[in-house]
Amino acid sequence: MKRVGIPKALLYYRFSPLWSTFFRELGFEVVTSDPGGRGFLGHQPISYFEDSCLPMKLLVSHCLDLAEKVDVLFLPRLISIHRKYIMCPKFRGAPDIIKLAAGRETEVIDESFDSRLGSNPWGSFSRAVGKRLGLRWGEVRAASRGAHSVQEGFERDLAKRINGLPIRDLFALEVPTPETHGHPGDLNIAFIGHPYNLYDVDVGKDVLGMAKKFGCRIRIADSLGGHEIESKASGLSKEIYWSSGREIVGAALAFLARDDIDGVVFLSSFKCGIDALLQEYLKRVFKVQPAGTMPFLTLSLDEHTTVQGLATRLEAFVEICKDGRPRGPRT
Amino acid sequence: MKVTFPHLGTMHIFCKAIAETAGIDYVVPPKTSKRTLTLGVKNSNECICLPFKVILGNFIEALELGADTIVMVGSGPPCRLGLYDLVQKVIIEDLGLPYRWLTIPPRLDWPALVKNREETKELKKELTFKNIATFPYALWIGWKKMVACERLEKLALRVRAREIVTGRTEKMLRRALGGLDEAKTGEAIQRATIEGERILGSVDQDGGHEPLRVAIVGELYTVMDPQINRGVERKLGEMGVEVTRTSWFSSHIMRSLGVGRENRNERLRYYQASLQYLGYDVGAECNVSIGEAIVRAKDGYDGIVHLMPFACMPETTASGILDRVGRDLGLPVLTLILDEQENEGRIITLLEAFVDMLTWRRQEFH
Repeated sequence: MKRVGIPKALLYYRFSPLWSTFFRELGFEVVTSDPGGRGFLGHQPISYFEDSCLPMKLLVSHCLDLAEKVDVLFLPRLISIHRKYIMCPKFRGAPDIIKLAAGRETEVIDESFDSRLGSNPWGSFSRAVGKRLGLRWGEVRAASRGAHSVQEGFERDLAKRINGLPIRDLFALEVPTPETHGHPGDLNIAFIGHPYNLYDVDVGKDVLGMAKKFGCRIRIADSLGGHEIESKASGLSKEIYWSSGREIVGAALAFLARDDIDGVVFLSSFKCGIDALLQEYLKRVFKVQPAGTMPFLTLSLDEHTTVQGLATRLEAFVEICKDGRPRGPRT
Repeated sequence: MKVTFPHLGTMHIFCKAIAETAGIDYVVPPKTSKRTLTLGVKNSNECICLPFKVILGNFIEALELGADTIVMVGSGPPCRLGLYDLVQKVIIEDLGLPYRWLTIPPRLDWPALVKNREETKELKKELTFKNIATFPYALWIGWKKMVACERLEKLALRVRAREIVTGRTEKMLRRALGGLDEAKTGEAIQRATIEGERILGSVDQDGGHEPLRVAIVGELYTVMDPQINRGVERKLGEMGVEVTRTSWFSSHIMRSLGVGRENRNERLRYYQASLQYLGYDVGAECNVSIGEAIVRAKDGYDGIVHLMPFACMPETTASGILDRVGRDLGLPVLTLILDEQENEGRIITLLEAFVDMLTWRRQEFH
């Protein structure tokens, strides 16, 4: 039985149910890096292959950690995960960076995933992967369909899982989704950002768990309808062509328009090009909002971020949110 | 209506020519200075790329001088340049400066034309028939001037590497470009070009000097603007190095218009060369930077200088790979990451060390 390695980095935090179910159903043993979920920073050395954002640097470290333990690494070349919009350009070069960093003898499944082409991108992607691994199409199709429905179920439950489960169990499919009921006094705080900033303990330092301890109910972009996000994002003077950027801006504007949200926290990675640009945009939009501002906190994350530093800022922010929304634009 | 445009190399010469010929009022933003950068930095954040800050600073300074219409080239995915206008509009609005915005579409397709129509609806009312009628001619004059500027700059690259009195070429280039700037008609441009070439040719040169050859690759804004890269091109030239680059206005404009076979073939050659290291088109200049380094190594160049702004998305990927390319091919690569905190001393030291190293290498091989 072949072992497939899936690095716990970047879009693992969005597609892990899909990817791992797919390979498991095809009879592979799925190995993920950092099985304890403790994170890399402080436990293992980080490899700096290029001077990129922290999530990208972590990808290199996770892959190097996995490379010796598995037969093949799974690192698709993610061009686009949306019908019209694209991913950050760094994702396009990621498999090449990994091949150079890990040595060319490492086998990497780096098939391109481009949702702009064709009506069934996941189907054609899984077909290409199956072909490369020498599997029969019937088998691959069954696995890819099964995996797809697992992913859909997971996405439906994600908002509940975040409020009910600790972060290390978030992507453990064997842990069932708990029924959670909020307390009446809870603050509703929206967290926006790339999924790896939110859920990777190395990047985000479990800021969601921290917020829960401070008595917040967490709202994420996935709990809004895709339609609501899209309608906000498409009203801008220029199309944002990164799907993640659209989601961030659309969700922020949607949360801003809602009455049941007490504050918005934006988690951004230092050196992330998309975050840097959109953060500037959101900051100004929240400031010039005519209807009155909503507390908005930007947390910039890098390898020097400490849990204590984040906790201090978050606690102060929660206090501001408790005072209720200030009326009228702040100066 | 007073139009303005950002600085980028010699762009102000031909943008000015277009506006002047068409009889449109314009403001050339003050030369990019410390203040420009400070304005840009103050109104953005640390991880936004340097071109954004400089362009924003240019706009703010031009608006202060009375400009009211910003003309900015649009761009597309995947690089951040395509979203500059979205964010810069909000920033300028927040600063309370009145402005209007006109985007030059990067590609001639339907959405771009529709958007252009919307933006120009108001502006058209302020233009006279004469403005509109002379505009095609103005564009032609602008193009002529741009080609002439590039011709002189390319000549200067060759002359500078062989000059005997350091700094002489730069002085002569300024004079030649100044003459070109004053030319008004097609004929005058022609004359100014010939005169410029004569002026540059009059610089005393060391005929026996065989200069080192270095190619500058990287993000186009940092490669093309001497204010941003602190005159890397000039500094290398004055150290006796012949510099080559493929980023010119004409090559980028021709590429986006899809004309010019030679230009396209060259780019395609670089792209194909890059595929052995990078299996997909990352976008912007990333593949070209890598491919050009590979091709130049085979052409016998002595080294590569790779320029990029701090946190540039495509070039960050390129820099990681270029490092490996250099090691595989035995080609020295110097990556300069530029941001607003740059001081000239660092660049001089790095370039001097790089050139010394190239000189020793050459002596060793001969």
